[in-house]
Amino acid sequence: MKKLLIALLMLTMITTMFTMGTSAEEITLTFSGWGDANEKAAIEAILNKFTEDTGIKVEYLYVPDDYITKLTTMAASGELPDAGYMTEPDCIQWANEGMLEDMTPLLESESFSQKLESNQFIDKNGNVVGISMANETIILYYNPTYFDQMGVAYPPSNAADAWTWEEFVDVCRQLTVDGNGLHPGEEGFDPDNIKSYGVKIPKASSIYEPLLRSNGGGIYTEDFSDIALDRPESIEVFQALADLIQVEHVAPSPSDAASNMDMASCFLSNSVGMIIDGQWSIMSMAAAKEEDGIDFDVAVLPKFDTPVTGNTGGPCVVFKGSKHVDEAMKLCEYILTTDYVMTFINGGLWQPTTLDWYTNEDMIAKWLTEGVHPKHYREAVIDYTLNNLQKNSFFTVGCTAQIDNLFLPALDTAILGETTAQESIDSVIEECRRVYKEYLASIGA
Amino acid sequence: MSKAKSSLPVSGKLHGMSQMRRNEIIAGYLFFLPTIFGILLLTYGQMIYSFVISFTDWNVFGSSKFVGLQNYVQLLTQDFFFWKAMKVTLTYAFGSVLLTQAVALLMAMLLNNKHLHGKAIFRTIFYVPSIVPAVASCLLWSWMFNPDYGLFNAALSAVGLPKSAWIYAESSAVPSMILMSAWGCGATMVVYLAGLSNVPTTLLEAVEIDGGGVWVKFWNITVPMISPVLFYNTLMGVIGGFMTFTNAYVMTNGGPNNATLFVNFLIYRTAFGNNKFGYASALAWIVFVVLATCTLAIFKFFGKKVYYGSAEN
Repeated sequence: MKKLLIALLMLTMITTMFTMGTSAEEITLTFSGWGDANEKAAIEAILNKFTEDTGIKVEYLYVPDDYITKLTTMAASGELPDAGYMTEPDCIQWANEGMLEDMTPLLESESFSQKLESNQFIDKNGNVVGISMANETIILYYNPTYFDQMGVAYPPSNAADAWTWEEFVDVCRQLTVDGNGLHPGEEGFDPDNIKSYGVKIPKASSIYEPLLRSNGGGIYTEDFSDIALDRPESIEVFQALADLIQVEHVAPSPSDAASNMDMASCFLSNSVGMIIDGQWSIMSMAAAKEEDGIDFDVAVLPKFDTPVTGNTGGPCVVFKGSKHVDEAMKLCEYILTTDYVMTFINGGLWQPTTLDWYTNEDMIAKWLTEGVHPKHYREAVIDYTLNNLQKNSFFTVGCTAQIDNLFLPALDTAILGETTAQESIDSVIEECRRVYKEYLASIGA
Repeated sequence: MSKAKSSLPVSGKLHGMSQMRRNEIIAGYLFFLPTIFGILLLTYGQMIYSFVISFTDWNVFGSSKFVGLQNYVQLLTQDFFFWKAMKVTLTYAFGSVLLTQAVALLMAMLLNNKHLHGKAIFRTIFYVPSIVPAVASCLLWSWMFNPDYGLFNAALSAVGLPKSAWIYAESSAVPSMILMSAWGCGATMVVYLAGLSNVPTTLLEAVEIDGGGVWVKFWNITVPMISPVLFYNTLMGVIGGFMTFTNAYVMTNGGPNNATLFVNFLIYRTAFGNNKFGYASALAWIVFVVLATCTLAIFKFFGKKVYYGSAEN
């Protein structure tokens, strides 16, 4: 019995020594992310390259659905990955709660190229806590074939020539046709039987925000000290958007077939002439162009006062609690290196986040891909991003989801023509202010 | 087991038998232990935990602070969405129960007709929708509800009736979803069918002999005889109605203008969207209390009217 005990003791000691030895040398990072099969494969390739170059192993935690739910439960059990993707509306909230590492050292490191300011998530302390993996500028897509058919001039691709709202609505009227070939405003026009609409504008804060800012309004004030939804300039924009559907009859209501079709189908069937959407749709449109011959091009958004666009861009972050922060930062550097994600850049899904790529002609040439990026992409996306982009509020504010959940549903009744935009916003403004004040107090602002 | 029990006092092999019985008892306990463990650990454990955190401001990150009844007070007096969500949920729960039970009972009675041929086929046809995954049926119904190209408006137009905006308008969203709930009543129907097959034909024939019509047979014989099933299905229907989540999550995202903001969807959004887990737990407990009250009320008002056979009565 005694011998057995001694043998067991020795065995334990040997195993402990072994495990101690290996853990000191070998680091394994965990990286989490979502995306389709192509994105998964591309990320895996980058992770493999990282392992080859550094000898650090990376375990890839692929969560295609309900990503933030998974991440939240992992946070609750203290098992967050070292680094990973983060959902945009949650990034600042997580950072303000101290769940994300400060990435300023990475931004300042010599090997790291300068990133667009509009792709940096800034927390309550002014630290950069996340950097977008892709920039996605909000632009106007249009169907040149349909424009030609209707004898209407194409939308401007240069911000300096951006249509005023009146010019834009006028073009929308020319593009909108009912079953008898009549346009809105013409005698006998039937708004219940519209064959082609001028424009489709999805209901999303990322799409509404640049239009609001273009008119001097906004969801939040410029210094983020208050809500700006009830500014007259904001109300004017909301009403103009509702009027496109209810008064002008140039945009489909949420229940119209055109509202529920993807862009390619809208253009293929001539159901809609123009659609406001993010740059990401370039990829699917390029595929549709190749497969079905659907023509498309891009332009800048119409303006109310000044030409403004907005953006989105899911960040790469390092989670607090990682035992290997430096290594995790290095891993983020790989993920954030444009050269490693050229599949997405050339495919039209992502825009680079590095400043050089917007100014250096060689890099722009490397970016633009024949058959993917349409004719006016350079002006309407690259230059527009560089000169007219005001970044989405979720890069700065940690309660955008809560505010969106209040004002976007309220606008439903205005969009359906049951109330005015003023009445819709009035019904929630007090609660928006209360939530926002509570948020500001929570971050000590 | 019963055989072993009955032989216990008589046999001379008492020791051997009791050993066997003891083993059987141990085996029995071992068999149901995983279930008990599962319920204790995965249901009651969570419930207790959620009750505790409902008194805190826990938001997943870092430490949480005890806030007493603040979450409950805020929910009941200040919350922007709570009362709206409760109204939506209650309307849906009771509306869907009424419609589902009526349709299920009607179908069960049709299938219970002794002159009907091919019962098995009809039973399968009516039952199949209830095994379609919830998300798939939500997507399917979204298409049918579409005011522009959906099946329902096409049918309404075909007979010259005015179209509806279905789930796209604030006023018709919940009624549309109530209508949809009747589609999945197959499981309820099968339970009714089982209940109906136990209604003694002698009683029905007695009514016929006495000159009673269809309604008299239904109201005075069928309903009392199937009252336990009716009671069970209604109770389950109300509970199921309160649990609705997928419809809002898949079809409407709670809209338009929060018209389909079911309380479970609100709990999910508060917890995983806003990271207010303490607050969401308080919300869940309020819903639990409301549901428990409804269940008790149903027991109180209808429980006594249930006929469980002459012996128990």
